[in-house]
Amino acid sequence: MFGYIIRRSLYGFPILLGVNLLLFLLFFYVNTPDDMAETFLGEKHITQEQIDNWKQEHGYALPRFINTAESFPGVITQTIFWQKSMSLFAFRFGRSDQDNSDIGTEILRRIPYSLCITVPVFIFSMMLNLFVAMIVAFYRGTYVDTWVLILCVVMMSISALFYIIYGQMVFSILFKLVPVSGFDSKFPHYFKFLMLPILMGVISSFGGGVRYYRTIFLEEINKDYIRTARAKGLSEGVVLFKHALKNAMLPILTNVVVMIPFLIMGGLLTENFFGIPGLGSYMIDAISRQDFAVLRSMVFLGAFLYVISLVLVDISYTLVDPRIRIG
Amino acid sequence: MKYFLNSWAFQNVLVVLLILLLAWIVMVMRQSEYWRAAFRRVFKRKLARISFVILSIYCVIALLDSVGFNQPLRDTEGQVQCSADTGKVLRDEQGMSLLDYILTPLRASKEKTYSAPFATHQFTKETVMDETGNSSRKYPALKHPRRHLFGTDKVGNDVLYIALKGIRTGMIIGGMTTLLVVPFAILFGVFAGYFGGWLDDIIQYVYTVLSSIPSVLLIMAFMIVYGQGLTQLCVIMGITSWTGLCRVLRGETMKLREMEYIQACEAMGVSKLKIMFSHITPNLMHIVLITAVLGFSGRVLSEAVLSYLGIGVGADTISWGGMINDARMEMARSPIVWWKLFAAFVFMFGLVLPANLFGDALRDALDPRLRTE
Amino acid sequence: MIKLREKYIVRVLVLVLLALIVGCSNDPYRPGEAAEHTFFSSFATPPTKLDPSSAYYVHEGKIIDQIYEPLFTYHYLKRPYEVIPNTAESIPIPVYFDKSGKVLTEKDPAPAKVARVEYTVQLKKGIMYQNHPCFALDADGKPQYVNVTLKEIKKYDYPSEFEFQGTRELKAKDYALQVRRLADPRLSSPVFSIISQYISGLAELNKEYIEMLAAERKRRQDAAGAAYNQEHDEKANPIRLDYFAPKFEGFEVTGDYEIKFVLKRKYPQIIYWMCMHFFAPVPQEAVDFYQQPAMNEKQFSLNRCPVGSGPYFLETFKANEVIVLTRNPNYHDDFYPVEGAAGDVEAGLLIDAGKKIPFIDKQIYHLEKESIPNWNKFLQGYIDSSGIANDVFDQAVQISAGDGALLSPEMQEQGIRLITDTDPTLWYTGFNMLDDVIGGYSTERCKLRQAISMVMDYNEYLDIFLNGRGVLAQGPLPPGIFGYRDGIKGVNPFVDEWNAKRSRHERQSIEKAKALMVEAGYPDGRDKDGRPLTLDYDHSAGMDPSFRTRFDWTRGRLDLIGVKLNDKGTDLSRFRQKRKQGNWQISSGGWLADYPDPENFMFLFYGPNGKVEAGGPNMVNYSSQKYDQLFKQMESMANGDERQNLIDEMMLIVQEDAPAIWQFYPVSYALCHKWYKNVKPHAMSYNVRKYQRVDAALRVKSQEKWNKPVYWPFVLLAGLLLLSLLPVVMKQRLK
Repeated sequence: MFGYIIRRSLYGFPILLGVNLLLFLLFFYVNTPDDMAETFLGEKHITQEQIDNWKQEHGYALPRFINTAESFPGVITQTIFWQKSMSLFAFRFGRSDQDNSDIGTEILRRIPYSLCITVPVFIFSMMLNLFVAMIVAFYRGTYVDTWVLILCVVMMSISALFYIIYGQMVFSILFKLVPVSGFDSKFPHYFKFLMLPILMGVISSFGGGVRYYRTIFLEEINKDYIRTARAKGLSEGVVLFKHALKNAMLPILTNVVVMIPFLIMGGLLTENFFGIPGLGSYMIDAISRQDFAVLRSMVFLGAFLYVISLVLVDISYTLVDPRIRIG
Repeated sequence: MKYFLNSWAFQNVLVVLLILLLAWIVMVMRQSEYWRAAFRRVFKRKLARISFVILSIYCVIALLDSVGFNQPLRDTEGQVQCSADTGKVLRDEQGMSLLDYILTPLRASKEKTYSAPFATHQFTKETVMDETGNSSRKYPALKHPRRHLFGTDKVGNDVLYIALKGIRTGMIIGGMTTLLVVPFAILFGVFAGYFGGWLDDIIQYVYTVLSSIPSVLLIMAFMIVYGQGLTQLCVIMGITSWTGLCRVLRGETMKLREMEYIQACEAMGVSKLKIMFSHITPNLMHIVLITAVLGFSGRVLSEAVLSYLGIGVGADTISWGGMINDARMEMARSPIVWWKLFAAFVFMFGLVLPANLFGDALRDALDPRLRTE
Repeated sequence: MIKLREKYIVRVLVLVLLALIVGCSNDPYRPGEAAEHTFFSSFATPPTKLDPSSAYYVHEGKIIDQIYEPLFTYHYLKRPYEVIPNTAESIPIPVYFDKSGKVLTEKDPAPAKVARVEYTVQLKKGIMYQNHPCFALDADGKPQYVNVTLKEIKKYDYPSEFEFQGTRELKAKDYALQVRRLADPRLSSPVFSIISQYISGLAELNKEYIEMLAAERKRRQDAAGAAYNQEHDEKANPIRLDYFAPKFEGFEVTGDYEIKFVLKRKYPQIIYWMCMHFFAPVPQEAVDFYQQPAMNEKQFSLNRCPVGSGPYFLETFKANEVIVLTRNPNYHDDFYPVEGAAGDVEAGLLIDAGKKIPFIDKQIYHLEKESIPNWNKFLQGYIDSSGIANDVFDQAVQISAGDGALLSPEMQEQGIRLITDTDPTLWYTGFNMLDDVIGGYSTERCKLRQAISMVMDYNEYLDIFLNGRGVLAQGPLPPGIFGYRDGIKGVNPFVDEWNAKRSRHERQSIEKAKALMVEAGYPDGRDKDGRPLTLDYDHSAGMDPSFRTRFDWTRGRLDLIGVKLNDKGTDLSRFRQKRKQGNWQISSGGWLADYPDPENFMFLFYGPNGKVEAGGPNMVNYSSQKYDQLFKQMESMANGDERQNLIDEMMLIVQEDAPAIWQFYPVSYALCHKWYKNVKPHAMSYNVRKYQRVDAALRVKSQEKWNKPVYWPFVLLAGLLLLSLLPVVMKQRLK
């Protein structure tokens, strides 16, 4: 088992290398360090000397892939690719191009903010969606099923933007129940800021979630063991809530694990609209300032979490279902 | 290059390709009893029929907006102008689409600035001077009262016209991306699934790398580097979304490869390419079709979000996402200007809902076990 | 068993719901905060550089200008802007020297004669810094925090929380240190390239610092070998540059309270520069304190944790959440001005005359990225002032010719005040003078540009897009700057006219523009072949949501004279490239005053400042011998009739050649609640909060009145939900 985890994790390495290479080509060939320097130095008074200086100070004054001026290890290590991209593997994210702040520290500082929103949204919406999906599966074929499904499709067809915009309008402007936006990181004060974003998050994931879980339940219901259970004379409720739910846990768990990167990376729209200083708004800031150092780090972090979650999915399969064996 | 890629002409080449592809698919499907039966099942449902009609209307509008011509230039008297040297009729370089032509009354009914739906007077007050030179502030009467179904925007354009123009953008984003995604996904998925071995490893590696990057981030990075634009958006959305379909197709192909009829083909010495494209691919088409229709609506929705984040189609192209983006400021007015957001909402909803419903119907008819999120 | 559990869950849920409903309020602050003498506002972009050498943007200036104190500052009330001493005893009088080193006796010598200028400044005594750990001393009188380890400071989030704090008196050396820091290549100060043209020896100092850094890096790289990574190395072990090692005559300390600074040539505008935070004092203790690796690890640096002597100090700085400025307990004596500009008494701005400032104890700024939430919080009374130049506020204000700016009736009822002021800022649309079609200096070309300028009616633009929040521009000089002429005297005779009835400048008629087009060789906008004149508009504003509508407006206006406009939008770096190469036709530009002097605007059209030629701010590459010659004369002259005449003459030249469409001078405005007092917009200084005052009791009362929660819809909704479940339950019962 342990060996398997190690092997799976090592498999992630070439993937992350591929991600790095792709990003490097994307960033450093189309947008040269000179362009970056100009962006950050502002427009009013600018000289070539200043640009060179900026590059020197930010470590971009090196060759891209191969440094012919150096002897062996330096040929590779004294290059932008090695110093900027490969050092990500050691989680040395370096400094932001924009303000020299340390990216690693900033990421760690921001993760809790993102989790404040995503984790409750995830838990609440999963509970609600599972509950509704089970009810729908219980009443399958009746008007409840039809109408809930139509409601789901309707809710899925509305852009998340509208939920947020209308949510703010209704709850904090019209009814004045919660603050429009903002955040306060001190203990009980943040609850009032979290309610609206969480509610909106739950609502906007309702449609898709219910449909997804309903499909899973229906699949389970059509299986033989359920028929056997029914034949034993168990009531439909017990069959559904005890047997089907237990067996549906596997696909549900997979879904949970796959969500991990998204939980940590935060919600772009939600964080921006509600002024929550998590990783999502960090990315938006990086984009609007064209801060490639931050963007590079965030992409790497996202890919890294994805690879981890792939490994976790495999492990969770074996834990939940002992029938699955790993070689 | 960027301008060429974003030019109308280039996009229309893709539109034509899309139509050809659709026509070919319809032709192929008509010949097969399986597909005819499937579609009969789909159209048995009332909702699916209604959805199909609505989608067709959207398609027609998008097509009308894609056929364009250059109007002849006219001088102040309305006479068509000819070049002094060659005698050829001079044409306006800024083209006009059939839709523009049909909607000429709508397009021409411009006001000075905001007006509410069906209003008779302007939304904002203005200083008006009468003959005696006294100025007073009042709501000026509109030039075209009660004509604007969705009101007018900041510079007085009819919002209905703008929303209609957004249809083409929405359809292209949904459709063109599909055009990019499907061939690659089929090609790579089938190759990887059928051949296995190192080819499978490489293809798996490529799509794992691509899908390990959070798609929003990859889109952002790409758009920053290559600039905003409809074509860029389609390309990058294609790049981020072929992996999912490819993975499913690869799995299905691996299953099919073990089926008896394929084994029989192999035993008879049918060439591998022929097996892949004549015997495996047709049996994957239902998955492709369902994914394409459901993916379509997803892309229309993401366009809005991306435009809102400032990495969408750009300000040059009218799109619903752009309309929502504009509406941000309008929502802060007091009293609020709600009709632009509302129009974008109605038109987007009107496209995405039927697409979702139709996709559902397709799935139920073709492959009820296929899980889609 | 199951039933019992269900009951329990239901009870808890009901309790939680009740608690939520009762505790509901849209107040974004902690209880009781609004009742204190606190100023509440927001910021849209997190400030990233608070180091006085590199802070550049308005949102950064708004914070640090209240913390750092330069030698001079601007008078809060007087207009036109007047420089007054801040920490200096008085405004210094320059001493001019000629090439042979002899003192020139004339008061205002011609610039060509001057080879060296010396200023001597006396510093006020007894000014103390804010409390800060970098000044803290241990029992032996040595700095408390030297070679600190990460463990010792792990618990602190910000230097204001450190256990030991200290202060010391402000000395001349602190000013000298900061000027030397401007030459530090690591800080890449945005003003270095300009300032080094004037301050003697600054450029050389920069070269020396670069060499010192390069030598140290070489040494470190040799020691570390191939594993060397400059970024990580300097994070763990910052290079300590001995700023005072090289000689530098440009800014010398001649006593504890005396400074002498030397310029290479005559440049009276230097005093304006010295009003900016770039020339504020930075204590050596702070530099040393922050260069410890542990501080680096905690991200304590001058960029995030400033150390100053101003009226406020930074207590909390969470750039992505909240910024708190608190009154500096060590702040020196400072009083509200007793004189003001005309109308200040009537506006109630002199009620507090002569009182000790500051009045406000605390300023709390919350991050607010989106404009809608920000605007709503203002309307709800949770933000005291909207700040100046925020797009959203266009919506609430309407301008009428007769009675000026008007607020919507609802806002008037709330007691919101609108305070307007013309910004010393110019917006213009440049024509590339190097272009084959639109550039050039022949009469036809000038007429063509005039015709285009004439048809671009920016009064209409202001009405549509800015609610009239601007003044139609007549030339490069905005109001509030010496040399600007108002009324009929200031009219641009080639494009505009004076409308006495509405007392404003207006563009001449479209017929005039059409006639000019005929003279320019483009009747009806068609060239000889009958093809319409098509121009390219270059920009990088594709991201801006409002760009499309503005572009459509421009296109529509040009269409009136038959000129077509193409959209040539690109991204910023390609756009800059095009400008650098002079490869564009039409493009917009703006210039915000660095300081209130005509030189700062007229140099936008000075030939040797050409973008293509010299990479300067003359974006349109305009070059006129006559203009350049007059500019050289005018540049460093003292304000007076002679200077005014020169400016008038230059103005006519540039107006006739029309290298740009003069768009408008924006009018900035602030919206303030009734409890927020002593507000007068100031375009040059951000250190204004110390003069302002908040009536907290009135604020609390209003907030309560305006924000009563509404519950009934939820009761209704819950009822409806229950009703909809009824059929299901009934069916179950029947079964």
